[in-house]
Amino acid sequence: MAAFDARWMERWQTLVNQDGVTKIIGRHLSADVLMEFGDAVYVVSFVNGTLARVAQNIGPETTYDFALRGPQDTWGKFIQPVPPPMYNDIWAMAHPLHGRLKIEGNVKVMWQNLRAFTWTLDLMRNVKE
Amino acid sequence: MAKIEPITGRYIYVPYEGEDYRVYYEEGGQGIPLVCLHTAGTDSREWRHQLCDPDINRNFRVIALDLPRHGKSIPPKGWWKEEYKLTAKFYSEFLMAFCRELGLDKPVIMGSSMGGNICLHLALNFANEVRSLIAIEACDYSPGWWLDWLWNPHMHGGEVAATSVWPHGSAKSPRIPSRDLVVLRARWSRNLQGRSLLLQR
Repeated sequence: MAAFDARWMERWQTLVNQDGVTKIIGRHLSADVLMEFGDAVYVVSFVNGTLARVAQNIGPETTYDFALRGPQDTWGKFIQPVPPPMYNDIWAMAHPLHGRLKIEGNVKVMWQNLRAFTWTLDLMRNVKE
Repeated sequence: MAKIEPITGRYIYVPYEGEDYRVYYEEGGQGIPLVCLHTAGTDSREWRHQLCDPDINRNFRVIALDLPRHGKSIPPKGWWKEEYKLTAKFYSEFLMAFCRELGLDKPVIMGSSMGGNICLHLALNFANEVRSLIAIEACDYSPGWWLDWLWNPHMHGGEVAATSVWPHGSAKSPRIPSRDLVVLRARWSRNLQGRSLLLQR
């Protein structure tokens, strides 16, 4: 298993769903999110705060609400226990001055659920490889 | 015996440009006045630990104020008639008016983030009225970006603001105070058009 492969994503999914906080703050988080870690691309589907599905095989018929796209190197730094400066958060990475991450699509649903969504991303730092 | 923290809160009226601002502040300790400036959108509660730290209070009279429109300091009359934009000029001049009204003799001024940036303005314009300045996470140029979603009525501005700044805390910082800050920032007041997230230059 390596970071961002299918098994790693499965472990992240389990962590999110076992986490008590996500159930409380994420109960209105329902969205399909395209997550691009370099060549590894998934659509992760949240349903009322549960990370219900992690889908691969992205194609022309794939739909999603918003996307986070970045090279694997960027995400690799993000998931370190103490990330290097400007890799601590999606906002730091997506800041126009840095451009290490692209956030695209219907970001309104992301803003509405930013607290829960950020929390789930933070849990990536707890995935054991 | 009840456990009571040695922090006292009071209101003072600060005259500035024809307006009497009712300003809330807390203080603890005795000695050299040390005025603490909160970060954008929050209030004096950020300094709760410094306000009652015996190592600090032994030599310093620690004072933390809520800027007008923040915390318990209500906005000036007629606030609804214009969009609020906090400027460095207002912040620094108002702060010095507050210090004068309290009769502080050359205070030490410590500010974080937006408050740290103001310390640079104080160094430039009020060097003779302050003892020293502690500018925490300050920068002399910070273009930032405008988070317009904070004013979208479909958003909970406080939650967005709190989450946006949550990762700014160092991963090595104590976790409980960091999470206290999220609580403070979640109360960030959107309905008062409190555009202090970015300080206008």
